[in-house]
Amino acid sequence: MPTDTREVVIRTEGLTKHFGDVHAVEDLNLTVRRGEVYAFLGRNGAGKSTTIRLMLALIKPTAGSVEILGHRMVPNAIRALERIGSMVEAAGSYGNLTVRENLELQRKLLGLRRGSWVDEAVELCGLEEYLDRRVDTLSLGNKQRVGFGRALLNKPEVLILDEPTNGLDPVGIADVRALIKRLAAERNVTVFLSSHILSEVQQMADTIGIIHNGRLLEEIGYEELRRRNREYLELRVSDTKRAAWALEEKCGVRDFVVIEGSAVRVYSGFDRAEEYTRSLVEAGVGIISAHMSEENLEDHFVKLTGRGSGDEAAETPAEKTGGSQR
Amino acid sequence: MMRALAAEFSKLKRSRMVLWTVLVILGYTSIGLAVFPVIKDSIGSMAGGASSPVGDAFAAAGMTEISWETAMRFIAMGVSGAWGIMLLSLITAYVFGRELREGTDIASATLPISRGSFVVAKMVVIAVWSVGLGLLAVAAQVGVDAIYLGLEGFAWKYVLQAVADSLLALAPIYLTLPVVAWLSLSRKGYLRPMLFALVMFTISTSLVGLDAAAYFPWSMPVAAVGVTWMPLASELPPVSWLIATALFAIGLIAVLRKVNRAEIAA
Repeated sequence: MPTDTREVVIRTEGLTKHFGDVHAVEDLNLTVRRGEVYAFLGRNGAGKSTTIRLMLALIKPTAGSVEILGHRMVPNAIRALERIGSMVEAAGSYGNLTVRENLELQRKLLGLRRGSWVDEAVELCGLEEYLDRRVDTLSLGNKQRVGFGRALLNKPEVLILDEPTNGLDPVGIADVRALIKRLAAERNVTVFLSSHILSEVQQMADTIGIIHNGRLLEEIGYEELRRRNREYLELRVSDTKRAAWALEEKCGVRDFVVIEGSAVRVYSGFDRAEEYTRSLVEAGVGIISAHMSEENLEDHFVKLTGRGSGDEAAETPAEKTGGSQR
Repeated sequence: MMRALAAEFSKLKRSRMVLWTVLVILGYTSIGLAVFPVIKDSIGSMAGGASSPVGDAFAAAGMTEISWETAMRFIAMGVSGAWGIMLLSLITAYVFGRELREGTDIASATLPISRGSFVVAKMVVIAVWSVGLGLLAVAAQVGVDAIYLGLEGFAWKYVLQAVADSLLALAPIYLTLPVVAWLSLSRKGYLRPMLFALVMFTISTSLVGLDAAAYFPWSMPVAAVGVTWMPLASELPPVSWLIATALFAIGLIAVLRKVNRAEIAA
């Protein structure tokens, strides 16, 4: 793979955060390059939000450091914060103020001139119809939009977003996804976002960091992940033991696995699929179904992190959209 | 700094807390209409030879009749003995604590403005709010006195004296507020800072009439302007102001350390 020569915009070195006995983040080393959309994927409690708080110097690391745009992130890192837009938690807007007033307040705090900055953020986030509504009367999704708008006001070089689509409806999620892609593509904005929603990550990230129990398990480009994922022929059969014997003895296939006693996955020789099924039938094995599949990010994620309690990413059916069944 | 200051004032727009504090002042001051006849009776009975605790206290303070001059003195005594500590502490808990409760502290901490600027701006907002309430109390008292006493005997010098006395009572209370701010930042919600304020208020009233009142910051207003049931005032010695200023400085440093080293979103 060719070396990526783009400037490193975010770098963490040995970043560690302990809350008493809880090791929220452990020796995290990651790099994010200019214009990249980096998705930090993990289950609830994996350490995603803690990492984002560390990046923004909202909490102090137990060890290690964060550098953004060449500035070490410590409290009052003004020079860096001027070039960063961020949204953490439910966006932190003032409920007693209207959407317009919140954006104006942010504009004043950022020392920006009146005018197009706010208008542009309003348009980008689809807030036109809510401008004169008090924020505390908005839905969670729309509050999220306001927070997003505030994060974009200073036309940041780096956007740091904690669960940016949290609470949004499907249209809102698609809008945010499109906006993030657009910001990266057209303005070369570097985006670091956390998510536990696999489908979201799959559709917009250039690089995915998988975090689990505070540790970065894997940091891979999405294209690389796709290459690494293997296609397979899945045969659901009446007798997996006999099917395994037939594939091995009659067809000479070695590259297969038996799945939970009900199916066999063959990872090579797909052009011989007809021969496999014929051999199985001849061996007295009933074939219930046969189809080509691709191990997707979800499978990969589950493989890395395992299933268990709180495993929303792996268990929420609505999020299981990553599979490409043929 | 000016950006933070402008923002802190903007955050109060449509805030119910502003309305509530105004209502407390108006409500408290209007109680004067009910209280004045009682005080007048006590003073009157003392003039007739009888003795009563309220009448004796007022006589000792040189308040032998309800007039514009004496009535306007109740404003500063209201600050010291009634609403000053509790209301200003509530305002401080609100100004500092609401950011934590509403999650806006995170947004503020990620702005390219030093966190210390926000602390200073909040303290300025509290100062303006406090002075505003003091002036409102004076204006409301003028209204109450006009209803009860009529305009005969009114003089602007009484109003100016009332403003000066109110500020004198508010100043030491204000100097204690960084401690309340620190408590507000330490825990979300108003309970802890308000419990603290209640304890301080109780101690301050228990020191009424004692020399020690002049050296305990929360009871300094009591010593400086008196309270309605013991309207004896005395000038605070310089060491009192030194103590109160030291408390303010220590409190402010603690708050600044808190926000600069904070685990804001831990």
